[in-house]
Amino acid sequence: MEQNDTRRARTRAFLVDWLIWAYIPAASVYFFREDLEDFQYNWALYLGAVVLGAVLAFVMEHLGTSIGERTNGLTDKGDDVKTSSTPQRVPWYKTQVAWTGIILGVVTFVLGWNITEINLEYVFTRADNMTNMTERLFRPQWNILPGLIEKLIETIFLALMSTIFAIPIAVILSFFAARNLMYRITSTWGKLLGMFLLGIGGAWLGMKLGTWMFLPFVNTNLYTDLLTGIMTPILLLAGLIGGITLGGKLMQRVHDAHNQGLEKVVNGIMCTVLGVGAAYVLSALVSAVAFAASWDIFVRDFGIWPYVVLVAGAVGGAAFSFSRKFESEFPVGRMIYSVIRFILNVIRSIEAFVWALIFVTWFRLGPFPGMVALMVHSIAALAKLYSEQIEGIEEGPLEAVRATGANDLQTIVYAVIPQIIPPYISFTIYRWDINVRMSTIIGLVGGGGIGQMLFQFQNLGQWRKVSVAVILIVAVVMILDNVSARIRERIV
Amino acid sequence: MLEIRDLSHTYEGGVQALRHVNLTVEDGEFLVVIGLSGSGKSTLMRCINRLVDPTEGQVIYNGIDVTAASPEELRLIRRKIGMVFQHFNLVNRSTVLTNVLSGRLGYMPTISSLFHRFPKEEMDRAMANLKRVGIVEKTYARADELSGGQQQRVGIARALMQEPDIVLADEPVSALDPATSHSVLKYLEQINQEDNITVICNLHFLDLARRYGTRIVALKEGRLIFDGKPNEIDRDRFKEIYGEDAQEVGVN
Repeated sequence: MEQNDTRRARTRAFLVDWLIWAYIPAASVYFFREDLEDFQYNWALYLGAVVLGAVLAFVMEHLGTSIGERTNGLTDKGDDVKTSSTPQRVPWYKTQVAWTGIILGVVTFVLGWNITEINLEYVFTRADNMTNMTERLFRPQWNILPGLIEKLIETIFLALMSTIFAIPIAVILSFFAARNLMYRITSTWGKLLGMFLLGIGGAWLGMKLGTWMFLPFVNTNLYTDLLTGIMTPILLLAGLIGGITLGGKLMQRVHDAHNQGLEKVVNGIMCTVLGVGAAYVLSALVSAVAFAASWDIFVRDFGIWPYVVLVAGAVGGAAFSFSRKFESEFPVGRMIYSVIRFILNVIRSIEAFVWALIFVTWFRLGPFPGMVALMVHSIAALAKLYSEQIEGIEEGPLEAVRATGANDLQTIVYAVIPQIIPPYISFTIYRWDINVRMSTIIGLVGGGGIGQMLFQFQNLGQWRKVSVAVILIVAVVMILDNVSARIRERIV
Repeated sequence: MLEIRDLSHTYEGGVQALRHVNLTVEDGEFLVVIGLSGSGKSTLMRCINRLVDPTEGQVIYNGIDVTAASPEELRLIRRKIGMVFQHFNLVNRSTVLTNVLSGRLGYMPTISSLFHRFPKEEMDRAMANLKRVGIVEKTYARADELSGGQQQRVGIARALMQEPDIVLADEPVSALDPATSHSVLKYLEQINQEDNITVICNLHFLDLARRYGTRIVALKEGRLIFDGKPNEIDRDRFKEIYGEDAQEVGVN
């Protein structure tokens, strides 16, 4: 055990050192990238840097304590503490860590200067090129104020609506993204698998039904696009819920029969289906992402291979069914938690204005796509903040309410919700505040509000109008910042 | 009657909190459980209403196997077992009344309880229980505005709402000063004697245990090492339970 740990630390230490000592020569080569443009074999230089890095890392680890060793707790080499008569710290400038750090810092700073094209000459000589524009910025053209205020109101309400729509969805999601609530939830594998498969099946059926239902009425007086658009998600959801319910009931029957053989057969069939489904999804995904081709093209052009993939999935699924018994416990809560957390993290790490780009193509230019973009981003951000509040609640009251014989729903209403309401309100106001600031950026890609005006003025070089827009934005953001801080202070 | 048979619990991470505990509690007893911190007192209590699932053994309550109960059966068992906690475990931001009413949730239909709609007789019951523990004037105060002793009395009122057969009290006075400790324990004694509710109570101080218990059991490293009358604990027994170096300190 201990030896294993040391070995792992050694490996990590070497990887860190390798990275550092490969980075330094590679950065040096990159510094001369423009001179090396015509040099055919410049890839060999980078390869050389990597190899040199390994050699240097090896050498450095034998010359005292390297950074990798220091950061991984391998410091018992005795070179930073003199062991003679009285233990004495070696001054920092005599350690390898310090010198490596200095070299790293200098190389990075020089390369950074080079990459960002810092030009001091411009700084000292071209200042008056800017004054023409700034001078106009200082003379705002106030007569456009009424129109701009209208746009400003649009921005504020756009932010408000996006927050309002985000709240209920984020509240619901936050319960599923709270570790302390979800980790407790487990179910039996067979029941879950039945619910999952039938749920997916039901959703698929519902979706198909939604698309087919109004096909006969195309080219009649009916607005079939709208009807299809409305019915498809409704039927999909109905199919999903119906399938899950049916699956749960069926599997309960199987469980109640207490028949080992039946359970094995059902589990085997379901696992096979799961395997085929997984193989299909995976290969469709790979062919889409890697080859920009759909599953249909895969079937058309690759002869027998798609079927081989499906059969392999089936065999894999069937084999898998032996490792998981029908009645075995499955941490479904933990799985849902991880999946939801992952999705929320992805949504949140995509900037709101990228979402706006997507929704502008869907809903056309204007405040509506901007609102939806902010809403999507807010849902992810709020759900994370909310769920962290749930994770931070006191466990004692939960335990107490549960001990009275309350069910899970009652426990949430009486012990969880009273604890989370104040922080929820506080975070929501904070989010509205953020949304107002973000909505100016959203405007740049056509998401409505004052940002859109700002972008137009800037494109036309109307600096005196830009000035008015900027002043308004700054004023609103400052006021809102202040107000929301005060409200939040009162609540918590 | 509550029977505990060969009960063991091992926490994740391997700490053995309980080792093969056998214990029978008769109706109407005031059973005091003593032992050092970490001796398994709290775990024993939580195994009885399955806030902690025992790894081995059984808890039989009036002939029903609690350890094998389904979630629905467990709810019905739990609502007859009240619990009082060391840190009171009230919902701080709710009113005293709501905290007391939450003791009744096991009897309430889910839907109406979700909207905080309690029938009049439940409100009357809550008021009666608050009167009983002497804090009816604090009914509409927020729970965190109350002192420690008052909070613990709300905890007792909440347990009484369940009309329990048993009350589990997990170190109910450890967070209180000596004078308040006595007042809280007197309420527990009162419900034990007047309502014939069985009380199982973890205590730290031996003189409190002697004063209030009708029977004392002692745990040490998860094992039951003493079971007898309060006056049977002499110097040697004391050293056996608390270790050679222990000194008895009192609460007056």
